[in-house]
Amino acid sequence: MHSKFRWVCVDTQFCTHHQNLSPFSYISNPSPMSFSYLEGNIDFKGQELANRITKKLITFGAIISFLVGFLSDNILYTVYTFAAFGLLTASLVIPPFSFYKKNPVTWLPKKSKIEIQH
Amino acid sequence: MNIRQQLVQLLNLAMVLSTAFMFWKGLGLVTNSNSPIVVVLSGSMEPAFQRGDILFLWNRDKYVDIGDVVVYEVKGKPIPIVHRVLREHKVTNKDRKVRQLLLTKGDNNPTDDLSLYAHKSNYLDRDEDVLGTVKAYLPKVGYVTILITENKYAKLGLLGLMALSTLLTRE
Amino acid sequence: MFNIIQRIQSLSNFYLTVSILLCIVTTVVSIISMFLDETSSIPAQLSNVVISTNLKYSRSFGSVGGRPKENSKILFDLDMDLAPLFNWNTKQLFVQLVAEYPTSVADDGAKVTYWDSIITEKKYARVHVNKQRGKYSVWDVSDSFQGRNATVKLKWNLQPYVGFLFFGQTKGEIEVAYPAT
Repeated sequence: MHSKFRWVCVDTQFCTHHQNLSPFSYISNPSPMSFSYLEGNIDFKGQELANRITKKLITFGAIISFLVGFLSDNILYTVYTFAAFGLLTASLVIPPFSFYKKNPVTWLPKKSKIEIQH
Repeated sequence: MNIRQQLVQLLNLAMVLSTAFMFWKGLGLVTNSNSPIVVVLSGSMEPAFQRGDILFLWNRDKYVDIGDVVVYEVKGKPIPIVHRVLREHKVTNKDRKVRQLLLTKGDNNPTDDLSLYAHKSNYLDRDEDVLGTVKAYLPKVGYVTILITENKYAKLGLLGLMALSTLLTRE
Repeated sequence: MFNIIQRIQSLSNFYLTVSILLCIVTTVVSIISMFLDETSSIPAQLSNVVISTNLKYSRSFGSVGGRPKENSKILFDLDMDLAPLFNWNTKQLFVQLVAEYPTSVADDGAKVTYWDSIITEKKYARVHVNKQRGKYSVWDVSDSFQGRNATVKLKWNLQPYVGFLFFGQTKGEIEVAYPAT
């Protein structure tokens, strides 16, 4: 009996990551804990949140910066405000805060033997 | 398998480079200028232009107007200069063609550019020497290019960053 | 976005894109405001304009091969207020006193600058000078001005913080004649 083991490539980075190894070994042994901590990985719901925060905050910041500079008749205020918004967004989105890791991916349990079918 | 991957990556890189090149040359065609976007290298036009500012050139005007900021290159000297037109005259050649002669001066310079021109000329020729007039301006964005070409630490730093990024993405 | 590096890349990418959009919006707003402000008719009072000439023989005064070249200098009174040109996107104003005189070649003639000034702030936009001497000794391509009539006017150039450069001229020209040779 053939048993087809199907897997979907969610993120190309995941796939190219382990191209040299057998295609299913990523599922059975993900990155060791210390390495993924340095990489600052966050789960998918967290990525969605981070994406939304950057887009909304920076767009909002652009509009506010424009109004600030235009109404105060000084373009330097636009530059400063927009830079401040950039730093704010960076400080919210770049570090892997715990609220980005609330929905971790549940991997399938490890199997002792994996049947690969060509 | 590995060689194929490398070749595909090389092909992607070639695509990116040639697209950028096409865009650059296309812009040069539209503006009729050899280098449609220039970075300000000297402080001779301060406080209007600072080093690192980006200028957008246009070269389709038949005659340059007085007060325009032009980028010109003197024959024999490879450095383009960005200065303002101080005086303009029109003369007719022996072959009945009208030439526009210009005298330029940097805002921050005490005297005009007479000493910068070619040995026998007292003026610039609009058709031969002028690369374009400055129509639009973007502040400070080009400072990165100045840092890279002039500062050896920046050069090493950039090379280091590029090497690091190629190593990390390949895992 | 799962990696720190990916988040940095994505963030800086988006930030750069929005910065460029902000520059474009500023440029468009500047163009519209220049159009609406009717900056084409700012009055300027030019009076007591006197042009004097003398002969010079050195190359730095336009002399070719030691032949005498007629050089001219100007003396003028100027009163104008360029404050309406200063908006949020104005980095500096460059003003030039230009004389335009006819030549045999072109309809609009030759244009020469006798004096220029840089105005960096709105509080200096009010220019009021009396018996001001021109900065430059001006010569023509030909050897002499031959007593031509010149129109002296004041041109300005607005340098923005971002966007297109604007050029214009004040209302208030004056006709002067070069002294007869």
